[in-house]
Amino acid sequence: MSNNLLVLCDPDRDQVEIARIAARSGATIGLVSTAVRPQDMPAVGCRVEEVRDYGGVSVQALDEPLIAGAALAQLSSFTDAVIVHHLGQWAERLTAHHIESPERLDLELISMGSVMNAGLTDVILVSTPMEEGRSAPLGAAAEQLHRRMLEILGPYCAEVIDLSRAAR
Amino acid sequence: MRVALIHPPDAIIPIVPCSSIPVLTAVLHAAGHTVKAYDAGQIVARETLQTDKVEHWYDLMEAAAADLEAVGSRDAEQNAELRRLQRLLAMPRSMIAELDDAIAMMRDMDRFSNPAIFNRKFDVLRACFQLVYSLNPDGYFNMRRVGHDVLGSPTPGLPDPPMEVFERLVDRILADRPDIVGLTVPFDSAIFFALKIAQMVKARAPHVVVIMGGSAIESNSYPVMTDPFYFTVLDYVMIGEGEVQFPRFVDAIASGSDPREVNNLRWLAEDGTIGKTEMLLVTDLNAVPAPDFSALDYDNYMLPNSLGTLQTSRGCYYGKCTFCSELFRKGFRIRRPDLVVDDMVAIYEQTGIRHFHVWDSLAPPKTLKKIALEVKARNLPFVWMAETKFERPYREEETIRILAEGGCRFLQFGFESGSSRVLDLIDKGNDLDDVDQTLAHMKKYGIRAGVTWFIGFPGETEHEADVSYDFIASRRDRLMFSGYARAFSLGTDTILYEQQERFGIEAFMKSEGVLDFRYRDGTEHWDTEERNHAFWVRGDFYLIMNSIHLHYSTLSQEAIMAVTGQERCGPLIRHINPDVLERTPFVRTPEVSVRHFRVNPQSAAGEGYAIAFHSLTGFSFDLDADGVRLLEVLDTPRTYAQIVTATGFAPERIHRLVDLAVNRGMVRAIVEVHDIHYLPEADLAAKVLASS
Repeated sequence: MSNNLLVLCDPDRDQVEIARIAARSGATIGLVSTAVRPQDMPAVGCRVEEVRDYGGVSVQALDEPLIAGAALAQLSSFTDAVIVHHLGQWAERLTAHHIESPERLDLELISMGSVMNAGLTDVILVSTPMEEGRSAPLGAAAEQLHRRMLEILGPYCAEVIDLSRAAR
Repeated sequence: MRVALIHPPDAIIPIVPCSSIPVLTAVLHAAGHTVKAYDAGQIVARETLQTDKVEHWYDLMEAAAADLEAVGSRDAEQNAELRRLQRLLAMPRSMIAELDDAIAMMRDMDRFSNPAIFNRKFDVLRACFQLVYSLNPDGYFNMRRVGHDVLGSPTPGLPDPPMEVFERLVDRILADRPDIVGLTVPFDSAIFFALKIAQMVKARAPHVVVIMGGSAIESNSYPVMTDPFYFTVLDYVMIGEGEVQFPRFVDAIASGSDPREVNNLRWLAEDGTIGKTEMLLVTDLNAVPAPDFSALDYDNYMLPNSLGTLQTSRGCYYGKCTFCSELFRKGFRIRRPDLVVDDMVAIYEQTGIRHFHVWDSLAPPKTLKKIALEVKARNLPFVWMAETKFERPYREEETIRILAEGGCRFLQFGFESGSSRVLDLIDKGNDLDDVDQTLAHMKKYGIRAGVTWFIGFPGETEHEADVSYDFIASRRDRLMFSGYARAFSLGTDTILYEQQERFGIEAFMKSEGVLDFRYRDGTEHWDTEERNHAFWVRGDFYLIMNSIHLHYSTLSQEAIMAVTGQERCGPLIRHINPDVLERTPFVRTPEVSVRHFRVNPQSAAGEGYAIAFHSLTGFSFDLDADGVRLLEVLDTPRTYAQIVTATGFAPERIHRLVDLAVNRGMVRAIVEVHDIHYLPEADLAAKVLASS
């Protein structure tokens, strides 16, 4: 069974530590990056992995702002761990894109959960903490979806590592 | 509740059961309902594919054609019917005498594994199958009725064997007093038959609830989800997946509550509009029970070793191919690989089946690897195959070794094109340089490979289509089956359709239910017809479609090659070394037969003509006198010059005729392997690999 983790942190600042956590699983690390906006995705080749630096470690990266569970499955096929960076941003992208279609939002969470549950690789979910005053500012819909992400995907994680609390 | 589940025929020889029946049987059994399953395609085959019956129908066609020929002045309709009958009658009656033996061969591993026997008998089986479904003008392989016409009055005259079987089948089904009849349509072709069966059920038993569902329910030809007309024979349509909602629907009927509160439903509302509930996909594939094959009669499927079908995932983890239906792309979910192996064990214990086809949109490589590890760890006697794409993990020798040790014998890759530019247009994400690496590992560990591909994608050139063929043709020592899937056809729920401007195309409805495209600069796409003939006759899609590949994957390379279309029909003219072309002999392929007809319904002059029948494809071609003469003289191998001498035709005419006949697989060039050359672009990937 895989060892999925939820890392609560400042996603921009704590990448070195996240990479160090991922490296416990093995040498080959994947990254699903939700940073690119859907409209900025290239028409061709967005699912061809590229080597990037993440917190000082070389990772096999895919940009995927929407169907992140599917991207996770693709990277799972040859990695020891995959970092999903990050849930708040993914929630923003999804709500902006599927704002009229709550079932599509659910579907993406279901997809991510099913891949995490299949034990294909260790999954490192990166998220900002949701406690009052500590979460990054998101729109109301994205905030709500982010909470649902943590509710739905949290149970697939063996451990929650709160780097933000450690930093304080 | 008593539920009758019906899988209508889907115009494929019934060799394996469709996976939806065992999946739905399992969930209905778990919910406490009684299930009777009917694979109508298998039942039609069992009741019609018999030598005496097919010979009788052939004779009826013969008599009908003779009657029409005798008519002094035929009208257009009579001429069309005569021509239709002549094309069917081009199939030699003598083939039918072998039908019973052909079916026996399909269940006899020794003879099935002998390519010489297999080729002939399988051609016989396919030809007779095609005839059964073509006898009546309404038959599926004729210009099948689309839209509302599907439920119109049948055309009188010749029998329609599948419909006659349906009449008896529906009587049998209703005799068991089902509360609900469920029709599952995994392919578009099945909707045609499903609507016919629904019509018969409703005519006899209006009180029985009829519901249709399945992955092909979003049909352009029969828009059952949106057109109130179809609810004259259907009570409900279920969209999406049925594992959760179908048992809920049956429960609602059983308890007398309103089934219209169940998700994924469509029905005809009182105001004449289509009522609907929200579509939900299955959220937890791990919670679904193992497929239950107990309701199916495995003895009547035509394979020496029965094959079980199952899925490890839904949707597609790649999801970017611009030609692919959203139905297959969206909502990727996965079942835990250890549960998939548990499913295989459950099926094995229930039925004795140990051959499996993992039937996903795109099976994740890691899932396959885990299945293999589990099969090996549990020492299970399983042999299996899966559909996938050329992915990075397969470049690793270790992955292929693990798959082989865990029972994998065949991987079928969605290859699509041998042109990197076209692959980019498709956004396939394949690197052609990976293909040879993967194939080399597979060859080493005894996993056979197949590819599915097509031509005519918007933007593809004719040359790129040729490169695709040559890429595959030049690797047949490593590529077992070439699944040429015919020329591209456009679907409405594709990225391509949604982004027509990006691809410079404009879609239009060519005929009811059939989409085509033209370029926005006013140009038409190139005509795919002749390449389609050439690649289809040399392709092996029908072997893949009929699940022959897993069984042949365990045989020798020579045996495998001997059943391929490429081997049976030989190279194209452009593949032959120009230096030897003039001295290359040509011979008629044994799969071709010619029948002369006294009357040509297409000609006012009324002179006779001939039709060539190709048993490998079931295609028939009109022949003029020159074509007939060419095939006559090529009973003996002859070079171009010798053909000119034998026929007295001009050399240019002979070159054109031979080119056409070779293209369509009617004539074969006898040429040494070292004189067959492929396009240099097709070899590029291999050279890159060798130089690195």
